Amino acid sequence: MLENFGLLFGGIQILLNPTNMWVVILGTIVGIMIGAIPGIGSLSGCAILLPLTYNFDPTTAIVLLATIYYSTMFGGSISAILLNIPGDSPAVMTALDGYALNRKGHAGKALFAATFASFIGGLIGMLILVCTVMWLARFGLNFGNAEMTTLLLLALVSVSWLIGDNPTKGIISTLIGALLSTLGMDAILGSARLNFGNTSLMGGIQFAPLVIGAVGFSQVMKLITEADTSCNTKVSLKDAVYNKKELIRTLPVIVRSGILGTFVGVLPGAGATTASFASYAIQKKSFKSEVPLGEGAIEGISASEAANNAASAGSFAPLLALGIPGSGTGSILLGGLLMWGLQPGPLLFTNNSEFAWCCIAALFLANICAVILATGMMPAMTKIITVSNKILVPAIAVICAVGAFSATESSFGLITMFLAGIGCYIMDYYGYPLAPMLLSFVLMPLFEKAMRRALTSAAGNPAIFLQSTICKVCLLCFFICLMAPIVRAIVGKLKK
Amino acid sequence: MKKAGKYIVPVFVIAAGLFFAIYCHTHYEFYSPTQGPMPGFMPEVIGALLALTGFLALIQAKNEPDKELNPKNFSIVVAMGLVLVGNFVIGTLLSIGLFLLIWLKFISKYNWKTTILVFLVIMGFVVGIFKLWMDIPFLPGIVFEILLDL
Repeated sequence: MLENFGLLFGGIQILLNPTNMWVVILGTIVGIMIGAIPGIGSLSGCAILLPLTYNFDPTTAIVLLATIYYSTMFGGSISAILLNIPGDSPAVMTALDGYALNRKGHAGKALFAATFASFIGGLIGMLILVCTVMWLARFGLNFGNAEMTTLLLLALVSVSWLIGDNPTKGIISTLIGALLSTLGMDAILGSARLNFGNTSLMGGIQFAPLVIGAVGFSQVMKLITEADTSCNTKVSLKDAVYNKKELIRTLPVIVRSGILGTFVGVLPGAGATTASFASYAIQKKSFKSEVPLGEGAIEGISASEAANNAASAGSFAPLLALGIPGSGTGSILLGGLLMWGLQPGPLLFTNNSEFAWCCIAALFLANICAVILATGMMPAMTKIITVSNKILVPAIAVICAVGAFSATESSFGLITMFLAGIGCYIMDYYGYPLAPMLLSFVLMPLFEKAMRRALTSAAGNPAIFLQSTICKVCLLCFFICLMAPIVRAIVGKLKK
Repeated sequence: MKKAGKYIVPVFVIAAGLFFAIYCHTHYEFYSPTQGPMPGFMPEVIGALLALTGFLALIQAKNEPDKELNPKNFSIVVAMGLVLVGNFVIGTLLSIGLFLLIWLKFISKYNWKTTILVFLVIMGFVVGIFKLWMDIPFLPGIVFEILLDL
């Protein structure tokens, strides 16, 4: 472990030349901007900038891409908090509490909560990565299709923690998200499923325009009749920074979420979005906060942001050590590595040790640059609270429309956003929670793919889900989580 | 509308659930003894569960207080619908720009100076980031395509 820190410092020394430092700063700025703009995520940013790296040496190129990938996690929370339009999918849960806190007049506090949690959460992820990169990668390898199925089943139970006061409405919301995720194409057979002959629907409904509509456009519809809460108060950095009490409230949340996020980030296909959802759900279900989650709790913002930054750091373990990308953006990074003649895997740390550790060191520097930039921009960004609803409504509507179009580069994204916005506004108005819908939309395809692959490999025999220890533990936890509320209700009735 | 509003979601959900369950049952294979769940499995199960829970929600809705949707909140829907149509006819950026101008001037009732200033800032951001930097292929619209062909 100490040896790894020595290698990390070696990587930092390589970074400390003017070219690499400029690339880190540039990558951080670009990453934050890309993350903040709805409809454009780290995948698009890295894909667009990959050709620019052809003239760089491999170290500088991967530093740029890794920095952009990591910094988008910082940027995603900005539009989530200020406009209620998550810049990227991991920021969806941040929008729940971030925007609520903004509407209470504490936009600066919300932004600081997100930035601070992102920094510490990311740092935790990176430290775990440095100490255990090979072990983390091997840990991820233990998760085959059967293990992922049982783990995702457990994760789907966490949806029940977001359901709210009315279980029936929460379940309907969950099932709507699950049903929408089945449209387009069968992931196993590659055949069209429920596309109704529409070529645009062949790729299914994209998450970005769906969430822009569900969260952003429906919010615009609400804003039209909401009281104008704009004020001319100047928000200074001093108002935004935590006091001692707030620090004590959020640090345990950040540490917990950072550790959880790192391990979720290591799992193949899970990603920062799943980490952010899971962490938020656990915080809501298992831990108390001064303000209820969903009403402007800094604990909610911290749980989501710490987890998603830690997950993006954790995803580098399987990428570098095994050559297995954890997400679409990871695939771009993997493509870049192969393009520059580098072979990810255990030998990368032996044959190209300087490169691998330089990549990890870049994450540390990106984390520091991002927190400085994001904190410095806070007073300027919070000026948005002085803008009247009469300007915000058309402005956010335009950003929703353009962001949704950009996500799919076609009018299909615009149509998705439009329909999702109307549907989710009506659902929200009549008390149907949106968070379970978005969570099940993300998790259900992963669950179906893993389950069907596992059963295909076992020739349809469901006993495959009882073979490994990981499966048994996950199934046990699933049944406990499922039965606990019922048992609690029965015990409560018996006591009466 | 006042009394029927709370039934919108349950009725829609029942209809959608039944539609998807029946459609998947008739169009896709449900289960294979050797491969397990097939393409029709998940949507059929989810559709059936959706119809069932929709029915429960319909019963629950009878005891809920009536809640009326405010038509004012749908004015942006009408506007965005026109933007959607305009996107195909005159192009994405032009229809969005027109929406912005008309909304700021006639709905938000700002003077021309404020309207044009806000318009320039927002469209500057949109064109600068999405068109010039990201090179998103916005639609030119049928009208411009015809003009270009001429």
